[in-house]
Amino acid sequence: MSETTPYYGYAGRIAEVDLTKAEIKITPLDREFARNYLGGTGFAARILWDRVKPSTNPLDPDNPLVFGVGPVTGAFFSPSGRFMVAYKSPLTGYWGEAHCGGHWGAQFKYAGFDALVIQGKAPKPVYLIVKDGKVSIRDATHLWGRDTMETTDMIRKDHNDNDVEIAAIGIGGENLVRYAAIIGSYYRAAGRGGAGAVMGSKNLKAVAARGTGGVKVANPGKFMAASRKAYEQMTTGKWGEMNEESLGKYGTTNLVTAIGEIGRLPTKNHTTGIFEGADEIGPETIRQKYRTSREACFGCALQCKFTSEVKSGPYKVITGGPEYETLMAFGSNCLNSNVESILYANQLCNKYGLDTISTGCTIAFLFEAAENGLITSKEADGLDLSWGNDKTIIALIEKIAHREGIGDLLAEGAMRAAQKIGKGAERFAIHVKGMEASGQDPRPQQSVGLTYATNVRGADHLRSLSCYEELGFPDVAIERFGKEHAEDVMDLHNTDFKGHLIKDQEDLYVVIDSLILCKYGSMWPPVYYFDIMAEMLEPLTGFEFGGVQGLRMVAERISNLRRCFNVREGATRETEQLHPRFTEEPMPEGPAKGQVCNLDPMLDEYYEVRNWTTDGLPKRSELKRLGLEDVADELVKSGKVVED
Amino acid sequence: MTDSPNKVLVVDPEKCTGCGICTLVCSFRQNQEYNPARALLTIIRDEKHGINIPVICQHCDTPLCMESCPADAIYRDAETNAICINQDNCIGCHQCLVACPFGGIHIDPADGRTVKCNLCEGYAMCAQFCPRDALMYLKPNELTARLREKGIKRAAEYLQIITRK
Repeated sequence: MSETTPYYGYAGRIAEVDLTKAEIKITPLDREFARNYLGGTGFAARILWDRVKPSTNPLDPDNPLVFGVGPVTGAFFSPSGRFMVAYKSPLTGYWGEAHCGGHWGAQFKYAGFDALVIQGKAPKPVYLIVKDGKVSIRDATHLWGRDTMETTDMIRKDHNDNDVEIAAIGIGGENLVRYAAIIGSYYRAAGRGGAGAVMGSKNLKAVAARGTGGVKVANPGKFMAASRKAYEQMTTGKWGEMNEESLGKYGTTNLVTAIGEIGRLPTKNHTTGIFEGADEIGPETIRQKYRTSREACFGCALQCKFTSEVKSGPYKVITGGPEYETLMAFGSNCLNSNVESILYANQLCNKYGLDTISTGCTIAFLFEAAENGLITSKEADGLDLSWGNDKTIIALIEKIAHREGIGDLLAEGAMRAAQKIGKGAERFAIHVKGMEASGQDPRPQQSVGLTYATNVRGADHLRSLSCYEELGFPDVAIERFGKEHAEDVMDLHNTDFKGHLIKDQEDLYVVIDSLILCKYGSMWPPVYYFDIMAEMLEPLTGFEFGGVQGLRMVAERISNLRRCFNVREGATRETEQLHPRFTEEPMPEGPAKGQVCNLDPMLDEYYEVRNWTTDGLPKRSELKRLGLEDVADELVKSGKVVED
Repeated sequence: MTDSPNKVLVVDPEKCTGCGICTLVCSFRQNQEYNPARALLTIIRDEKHGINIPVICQHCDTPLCMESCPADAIYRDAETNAICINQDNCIGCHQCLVACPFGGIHIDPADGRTVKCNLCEGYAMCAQFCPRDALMYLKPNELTARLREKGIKRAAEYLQIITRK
């Protein structure tokens, strides 16, 4: 490796592994690349754009799997302990990206790397160990078939070091379940879009990380001042109190109640937004009956994560969480109010490495298809397919992970399962781009529709959800969008200004996902905005990003590049659409009774604000402004960029 | 201004969530870099069972490290009551490391020095930034003494759970 001058914030190295040839290459981080793409998601956007072809099959060896951290990972700027993975998604065929908490991200950074790019396929099962500037390939024959907990314990034992952090797949990933997750630190997941299946397709069981290097900062005094300010904002005063009363007290389970109030808790396969059993799966039940301790992600002062235990009965289990989305997916959305079964399901998904949202929502799809006579109990291995049957839910998770019987079909995800069943089953597969919808609903909150439609990874909240109107932050809306627009921002039910709003959120989250920070603290509660991040970033890295304006430009560059990745894969306005459940079937009850999502005007406005065409294609002028002219040059070959 | 000189550290493993912020601010104060491996405290973690035990020098009344040192390199700071290492005298024999029952002595992985907590000369950064008060820097009195004892007992209990499995 060539010697480089010291980096600040960044570790300063990128590792590439070719598993087919068992080759490892380590290169110094290019400073211009870092300045243009920031880290995490930004780095991955450029790497995937450069390496993926439209013909790349997501489960073929040439699909790159990128593990990334950002300049703030491993430094003290709460909440910053996360890492991300990116890949072409086997679930959607489009951009795949998932983020994960725990301690892995920091250890990877301390091991001396900003990103790890994995290509090829090992001839037999292997795992990688990233340790103090080195990457090694190790045999994983003894780990194959093991669950993620056992794998974690065994790798730690291999290295006789309890501080080795492990990102592993279970049998879900090994069996190429299209929504298999990567599990970090026992209970954390890089959940959505099938990152685990990409790992499985490479015969890669785990990536372990351990480092004793540190993160240096360019201006320690200034950075520590910014960091202390952020810490105080998060833990004291208005936001501190709010955190303690919501995330700090209940974790995300609090959303079962908060979101139930606006009639948006997905229930019965997103048929309605009101769940009668909400209290039984809600925050107080979990806190009082099942919680055992609090377990934070690295460097986080918010601390929304807990461990839980069901002490006896058929669902006796110790698990992390559960999170709101899991309570929705196996609870309200399956009409299941047996909370102990949800905790058990959660742990099964952790062990097998499955995305709880896609798993639960695919099961909800099956229930509704059965209710409508499109699939019978006999065709489903004799299981009782009536709504809310907790035994069936657990049996199906087993079958999906093992790809046994009906599980083999469900492991393909709701969209593909519906195509195979035929007979119009698509009506019950609630997805965008093939990704099952997460725990929101666009009818009671119009902006969610735009988020789902434009999200590069499919029907999911984490790329641009707005919480101003969802959870009620009018003052912040005024501060950020001005009095003249705040009213529209805060209106759950109208579509005005939502294109501006969601573009702004998408760019904000692109920065968050590149630095990398947690969405808690920026999405909810909305404390961090471009100003705080620009203020912290320059003393951290020593790079000039040009303040807020410069940072927004970086964000637009990454957002556009990620969208261009999807355009190259065939995305257009026609693929950025919602399931008819949201646009044609009125909400049957609650505050949004009678409403559907009116996507078109929001989509028009979004494309306009992005300076894309109304057909959802990029313009050369915009890409050129963002320094992405080479991207325009490639897209023009297939007529997917407008010359202007 | 240092925080009140005669305060003592109180550790409560029941409150510790393993976030490691203490190790970040500690290493930053010592070495101007964020690096838990160079922090002067560690956390024994069993995230599967949600157990975290902060391990840090107790600045004992009868410091075994000081007694074991053949080079008179360990002394008690008059102002803060902290047990400190005089690097000029330290011969790197690691006797103190063996003698300490609390795991309070560390070898710096970057330069091999024998190092330990000195209460940041009275700032106790770890306690200042602990979001859950698992580390507190308190005036010595009867309550503080009780809390210290409770914390140490809890740590011993947790260690048994971790080592049993």
